[in-house]
Amino acid sequence: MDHARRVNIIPQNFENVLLTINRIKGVKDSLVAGLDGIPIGKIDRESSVLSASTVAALGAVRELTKTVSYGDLEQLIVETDYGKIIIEEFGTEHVIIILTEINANIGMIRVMLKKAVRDFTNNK
Amino acid sequence: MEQISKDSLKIVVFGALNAGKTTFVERLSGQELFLKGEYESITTSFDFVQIKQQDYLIHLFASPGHRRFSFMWETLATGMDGAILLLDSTVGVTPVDHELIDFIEQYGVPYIIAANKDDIFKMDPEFIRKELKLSDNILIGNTSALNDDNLDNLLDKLIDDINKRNNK
Ligand SMILES: Nc1nc2c(ncn2[C@@H]2O[C@H](COP(=O)(O)OP(=O)(O)O)[C@@H](O)[C@H]2O)c(=O)[nH]1
Ligand SMILES: [Mg+2]
Repeated sequence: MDHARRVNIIPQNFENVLLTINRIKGVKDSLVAGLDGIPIGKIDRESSVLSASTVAALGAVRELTKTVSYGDLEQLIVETDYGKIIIEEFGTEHVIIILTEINANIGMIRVMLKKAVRDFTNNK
Repeated sequence: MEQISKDSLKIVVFGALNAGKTTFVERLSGQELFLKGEYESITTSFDFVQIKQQDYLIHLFASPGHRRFSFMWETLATGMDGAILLLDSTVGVTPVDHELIDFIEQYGVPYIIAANKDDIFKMDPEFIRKELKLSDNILIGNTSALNDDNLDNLLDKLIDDINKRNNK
């Protein structure tokens, strides 16, 4: 990714998507990162580590689905005893990462997520 | 540490297992790494830290050395602005180094070569250039990650190359 392109990504649009998602019940936090593993918008240590590890995990799981020839990876959901981490590709160069409460309504979040991403893509 | 994306660069350190990549990014950053690759762990098989240099926030990654994780090279290389290939001077130029040069070349970004472990053995840069068939504009430096020797200087030169590329 060259410099010009990185500057051109307007965080404003992303922030609207994140605001919508953060309003969903059960969502603790959400973040958009480039496939380069670097968060969009504010780059603090916590979001940088989350972005870098998430994109790496996505790469590893994509390698898995490729190896076993089981389709294209669409979404990655990681469950922990804290809650869930939902990772979804967003356009061709970004991922959205959502951290949820343990008892969050995942179905609802996924539907809203799909809609938010679709709205974003249409409004570009 | 808070900064907007336009002032940031992604730089990835490649090299064979034991070339000194982890030591290199540790010494360069002078702090504890944000993520440190563990041999048994897939997702954190790389090292990651942020440093400030020349007004840039540098996202510095070191790739996993083990061949088993080579699929991670692509993931780490995505969107990189520059690369550093670390050679282990005590071992010389190996097939993995040839493979890594071919890999890095595909991305068309500025890169430099660091012949590491210079404190033990000095490799002649021109020998390396011949072995790896590198053009004259690729910088080759001798470093000792262990002694923090020539690391900052090489990173500066890489950043200069990246600046030149971006201002064209
Ligand atoms: N003598 C010497 N040893 C080094 C140097 N850089 C790294 N090492 C040592 O080489 C070994 C492997 O280093 P490490 O950074 O883990 O390599 P990596 O596998 O490429 O991440 C460690 O024992 C380091 O202390 C150097 O410049 N000189
Ligand atoms: Mg290492």
